[in-house]
Amino acid sequence: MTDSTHPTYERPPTYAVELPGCIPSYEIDDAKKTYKHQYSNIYYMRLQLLRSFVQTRAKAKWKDVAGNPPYTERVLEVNKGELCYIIGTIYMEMPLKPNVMDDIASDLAIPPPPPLTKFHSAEDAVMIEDESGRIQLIGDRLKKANLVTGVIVGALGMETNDGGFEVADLCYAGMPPQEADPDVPPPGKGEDKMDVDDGGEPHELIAFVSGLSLDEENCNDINLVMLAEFLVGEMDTKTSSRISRLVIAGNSLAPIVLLPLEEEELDNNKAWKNQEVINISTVPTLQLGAFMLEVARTMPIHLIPGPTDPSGAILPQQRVPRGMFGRVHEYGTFACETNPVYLRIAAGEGTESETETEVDTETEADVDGTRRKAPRPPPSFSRTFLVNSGQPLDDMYKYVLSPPTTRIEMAENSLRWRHMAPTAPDTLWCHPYFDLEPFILPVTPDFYVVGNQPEFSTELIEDDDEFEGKRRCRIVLVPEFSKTGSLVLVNLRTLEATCMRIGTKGFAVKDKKAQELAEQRRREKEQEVKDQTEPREPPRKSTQMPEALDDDEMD
Amino acid sequence: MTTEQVRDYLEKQLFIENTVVTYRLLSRELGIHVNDARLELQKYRSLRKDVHATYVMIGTPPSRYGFDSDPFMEIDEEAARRWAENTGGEAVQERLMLLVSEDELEDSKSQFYIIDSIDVYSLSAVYLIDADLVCKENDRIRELDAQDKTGELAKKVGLIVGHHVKKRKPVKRGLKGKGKLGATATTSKQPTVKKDATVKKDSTIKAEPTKTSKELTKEKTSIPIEKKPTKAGTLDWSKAKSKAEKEKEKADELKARAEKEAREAREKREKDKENPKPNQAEEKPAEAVKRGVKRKTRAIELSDSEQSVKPPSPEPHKGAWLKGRVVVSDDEESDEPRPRKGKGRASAQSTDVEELGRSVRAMMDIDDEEVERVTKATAAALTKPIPKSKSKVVESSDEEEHAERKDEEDSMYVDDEPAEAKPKRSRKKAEKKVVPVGSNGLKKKRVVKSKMSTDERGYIVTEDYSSYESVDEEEPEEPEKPKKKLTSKPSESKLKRTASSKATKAPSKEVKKRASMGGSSTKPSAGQGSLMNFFGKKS
Repeated sequence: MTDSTHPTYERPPTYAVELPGCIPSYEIDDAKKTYKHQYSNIYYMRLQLLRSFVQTRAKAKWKDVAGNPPYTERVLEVNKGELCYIIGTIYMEMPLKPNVMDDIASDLAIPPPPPLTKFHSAEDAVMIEDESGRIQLIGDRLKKANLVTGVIVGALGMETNDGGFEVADLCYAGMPPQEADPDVPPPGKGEDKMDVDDGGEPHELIAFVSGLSLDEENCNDINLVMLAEFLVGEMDTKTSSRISRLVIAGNSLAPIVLLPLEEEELDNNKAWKNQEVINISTVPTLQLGAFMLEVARTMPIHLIPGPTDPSGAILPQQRVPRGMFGRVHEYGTFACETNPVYLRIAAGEGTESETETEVDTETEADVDGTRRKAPRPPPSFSRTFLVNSGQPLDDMYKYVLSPPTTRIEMAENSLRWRHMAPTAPDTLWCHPYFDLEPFILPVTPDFYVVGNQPEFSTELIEDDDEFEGKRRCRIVLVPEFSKTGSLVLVNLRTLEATCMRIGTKGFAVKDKKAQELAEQRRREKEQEVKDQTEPREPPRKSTQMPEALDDDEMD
Repeated sequence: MTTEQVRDYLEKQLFIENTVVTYRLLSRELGIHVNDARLELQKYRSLRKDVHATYVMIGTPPSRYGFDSDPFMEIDEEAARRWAENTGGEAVQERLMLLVSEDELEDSKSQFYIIDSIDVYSLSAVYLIDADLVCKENDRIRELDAQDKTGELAKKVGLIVGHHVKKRKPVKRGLKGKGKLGATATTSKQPTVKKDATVKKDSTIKAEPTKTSKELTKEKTSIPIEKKPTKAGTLDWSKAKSKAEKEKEKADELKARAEKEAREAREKREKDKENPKPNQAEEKPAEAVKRGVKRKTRAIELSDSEQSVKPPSPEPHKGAWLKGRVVVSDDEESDEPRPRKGKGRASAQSTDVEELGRSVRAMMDIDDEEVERVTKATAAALTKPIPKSKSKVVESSDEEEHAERKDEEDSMYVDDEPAEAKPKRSRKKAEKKVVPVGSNGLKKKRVVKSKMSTDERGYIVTEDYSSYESVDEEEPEEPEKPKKKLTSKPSESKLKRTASSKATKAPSKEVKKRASMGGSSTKPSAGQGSLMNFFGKKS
């Protein structure tokens, strides 16, 4: 019974390399940290940057259409009854969509209605607008397009008598360019130390997990423990040994709940007089730290904040301070990232970009943010990941009618629109950027990973045209771990994605919980369907509504 | 490691300690590979039919929506339909890892298309209805893992540690700290520790009944070492406080009173755990008895485990584990740093979450300035006069860095020498009670603020009071304190503490004397003098 009886495994090494200059950083530094700008700049930038792509494509796409339709540069200059195409930004006029004007007009004394799961309704209208003005788009073509606010499209059609623009066809900016696919080296090439028994492939796997949702109660959850066991290689060793790093894509902590103050604490805090005293549990944070410490011993971790994490409400979410998780900060290979974030992972041995050189210039929390600096020779083989915690996709999904439309289709659309979060800043909160639009995709990532989705789903999107060449992207929707017990493993070389599920069976308490959870999810789903099928009363349009509500309440 | 020993261990854990033993716990406690641990559990299970086992099944489920019976996965029609639509292209191979209870083992097989492995996961004396109970001992596992600095245990247990995992060099932070604090800070610390020890010995020899001294030292060692005290001992600031307090007071020959105080507090705490023993005016004996009792139970346990895990094999891990408990017995006088280090660390990163949480909160309560003061005070109290004054001045000069240093400490006391532990503790202890007037000369504003906080426990920063006079007006009630503080800076912390610990004037006088001996340079004119020092030091 010695160690020699056990096969020894080695994790295939990978390292994060710095990103090419065209890829934006989502870090908001002090210079950018200003909220004085208007959001209109974002729309302006977006249209300016994407119009040319749409135009070239539209030109090529519709050059053979009878009558050689001309490009009308301003939507207001469209002539009635004349076939042409226009390019502009989509604006969805939706009665159910929250409107900032309503917010301002509404009575703050009344608690707002719960946020809707869907904005879609039968009365939705699609508008296209540019600098000159807007025009309503009509036609069946729009039905299957699943457009959302903020997308830059080209529309071919003609203006009808009632002032709408009847759309015959649509054109998008298309998937952005991509580096040529590196030849996938044969398994274990040049790495003889990787003794693989029974022909297992030593392809590097990257593990993605999201929605750990640690709170007071579930933080010693058996699923989480088993997840750690699996990752560190104590269970299912053969699969586990191929995992090279872990990416935690958002919602690691459950929403913070304020605990009631204990008497004693109140007494102690008397000195604080009228300062507000809050009491939050530190347990989840510490437990998350303990979990990550366990895993960080064996592999690098990237921690991406999500909507429920303490990292602000607007996109891009900034890194959480790495010091807050305890000892795991000792690991240079534990990195807190922004949300969204581009990661470039190279196979093989290499020095992780977080080095000491930058430490002195950066604050403690930013030590890991030095990936973009320190140039080094290009790696032999690397993949680009675009990871976010799901807010953009969740928000886009509210605009469309589902069942027919699926989340993965919306993710695909997003790539084809060349934009990650078109609904920002309309219904998705984002930073008021002034002179850049960081959510435009400069490149097609090899993996587009979206966290906190209700279920696992994946698809390989491919495209090939004369403008950008060959592109393909693996879209991966990572389910919430706390609800599904799933983590996703992607193969760095073959772009395959697999799902690993962890669960329990035969424990009364757990089974019951699981059933409740399933039941709850079913109800949510039903509610979602109901939201869009039976159109609800549009939210109060004017200031009269609050009064009416008031009356109701009085009664 | 023979099966015999494993069996003894399991016997004890399952039926005496009533724990749930997972293969992970077994592997770490005994330093064996997880695969071996699983085998051992299996063997044991086949011997004893009265234990309940859980199993982990790993394999491939039949298909995405073949999971009708799967309780934790809703059958998703929509997904099924879509998957049907996207045929072929995205046929994703899934993998399932299922923890099942024993009686569901057969049923669960239907959940798999291919079963790669079925392994014992845990054994327990009772049937578990909540799966979360299976990982009840997870904290312990994490603790054991955390002690594994070299990666030796990880290797032995069979963790797959990636070569590309890198620890940040603590040097970076350490250097930073050194650069700022200068060598003085660190050196002052070490002397402190030594002095501390010697003082203790002196006092022991001198006046104290040996019993109490022993007891004291015992406490010292035992607190970080014993399991239960560990929780409170290392990170819990309040407890640390009392202990350190004691040290100092001892040096001052005030021990008796302070000890009483502290002991009372501790006793209160301990009463919860133990039966109130003869609890009379004479506290010391009572305390001793209690301690003794406690140790005895420990010892019993120890011997038990020794029996079960008999030949202490050279495996380092197990050694460490045993040591952790053995130490409790009687090497107080030697003041051995090693065991404490190990244990102290373990507890520092202790997984006892509640305790941690509390102490973290406590830390947040503590103001930076106060922390600094404490260091100074301790240094002043424990080092010899001449070096003391030096170090003090330096320390007081770099107030701003303090927060950073605190940060550093976070990592430092995790990683560093045992010596570190002591100063840290001693520093901690005083912060609440100490009024940070010591360095008032440096920054008037701050002084003013701290004055504000003097009467109350909490510390309020009131920007309004930017002037010095206003403060004096503020506290007409306690004119004595401020004065003393102003004049005898180094002593003030001590004074404060003593005052708070209900010691009467005698101690404070004592303190004053010491102070006058020590911090001669800074003492006379509080504000100006230290200001000058400040500049002088800088240049």
